[in-house]
Amino acid sequence: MEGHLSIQLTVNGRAVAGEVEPRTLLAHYLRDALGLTGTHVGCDTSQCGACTVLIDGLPVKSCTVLAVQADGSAITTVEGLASGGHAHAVQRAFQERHGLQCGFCTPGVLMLSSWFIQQYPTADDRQIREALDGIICRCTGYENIVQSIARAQEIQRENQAPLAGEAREGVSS
Amino acid sequence: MIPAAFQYERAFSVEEALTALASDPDAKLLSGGHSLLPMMKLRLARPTKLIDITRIPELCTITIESDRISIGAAVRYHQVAGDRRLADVMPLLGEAVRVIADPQVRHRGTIGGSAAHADPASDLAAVFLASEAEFRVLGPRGERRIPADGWYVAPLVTTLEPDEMLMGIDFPRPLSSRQTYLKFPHPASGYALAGVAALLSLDAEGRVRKASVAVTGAASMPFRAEAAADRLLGQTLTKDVVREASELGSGEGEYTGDVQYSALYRQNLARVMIQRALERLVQA
Repeated sequence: MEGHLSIQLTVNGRAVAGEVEPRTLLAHYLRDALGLTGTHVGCDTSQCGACTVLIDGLPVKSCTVLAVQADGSAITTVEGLASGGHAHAVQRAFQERHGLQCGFCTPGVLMLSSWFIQQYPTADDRQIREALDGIICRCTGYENIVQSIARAQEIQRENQAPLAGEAREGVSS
Repeated sequence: MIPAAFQYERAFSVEEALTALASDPDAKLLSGGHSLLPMMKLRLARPTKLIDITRIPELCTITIESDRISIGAAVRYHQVAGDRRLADVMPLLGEAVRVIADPQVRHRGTIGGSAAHADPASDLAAVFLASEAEFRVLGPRGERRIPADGWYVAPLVTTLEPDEMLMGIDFPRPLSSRQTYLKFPHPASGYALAGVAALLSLDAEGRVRKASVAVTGAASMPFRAEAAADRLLGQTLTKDVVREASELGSGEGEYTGDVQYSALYRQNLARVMIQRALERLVQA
């Protein structure tokens, strides 16, 4: 198509190739071309963070990234969080601690949180609140979101805790 | 919201970028895009072509030499925040970058993008001015080095010519060892209502040998508070000296009130924030 550019991405582990207009936003490409409607567009002005996805492992606001800018990158959306039929630690934690009400911002919050607990596995509540700076949730008042992220850190630790025998070896190394 | 249609070109070298820029007077360079794309979505900007410079290797590096620190124009905020060498030689920069916007924005936004966009409340403007940064610019007429004092012309206007490209920003070394950036964010937008970058060196007797203070956000343009620095020079940092320097420094801005904050409030806030920044350096 005239004026269209070819892009190649890896989206949730799957290779994807497409033709896009340069002005196509990544959020729209994911939703409209790939049918991945888990990524929500909230404010559309890079304030609210509902559209947060991971590009090469880092959370970014996909309403402010052109699809062509992401050419060659690996994208993870909320659809790609669970693996092998198992919910991700943040998904389990948000369910357990009721970290959402209407759920509109939740895909973005989950993506940010998945990066955050990996990057800062022992962050305290103050640091968690700071990390949520780029997320606007109009329902929860953030209380349960903060608790959910703290719970996700615990789940991550439990998941990573090696079996008893391996743990002893791990300590000595 | 979708931007008006434009062409997209990815440059892999500085030459490619400059050629593309010269071929279209309405072309714009695209780095992180976190100021440009929102303006294009609102149709406040309608470039006909975007030239993506983020894959030009030499624009993406941080170099630390004995006499200077060079940050490539396309270096992203999170790279600066996470650079340990930089934290040793210029903690001020990491301190300022960590309070820009939010984590997602810091993963995209770039140092050069901030400089070229020239928002009058940009956190980095205060850092550039206070640390006497130099902007390295390349264009058809060759290379120019523009001191921070000569960079900011008006809100969103710099001395960069349309056919020129910002290559990177250099900070001269050695920098004063006591340095800080202190920000009073707007409660809604998070932009600096007043942000102060300050650098100080003291001699063996505890007297100020070198001082530099700059303020962003409070006045209509970021400015260097020369009178504050002059008041501090040769002095011991007593409460009175710090108070007077803050008073003099805040007096150098040109303040305009808006519906929320009067000019008087803004000037007072600049004074308070200069004082707090200096107090922090006294304790450092």
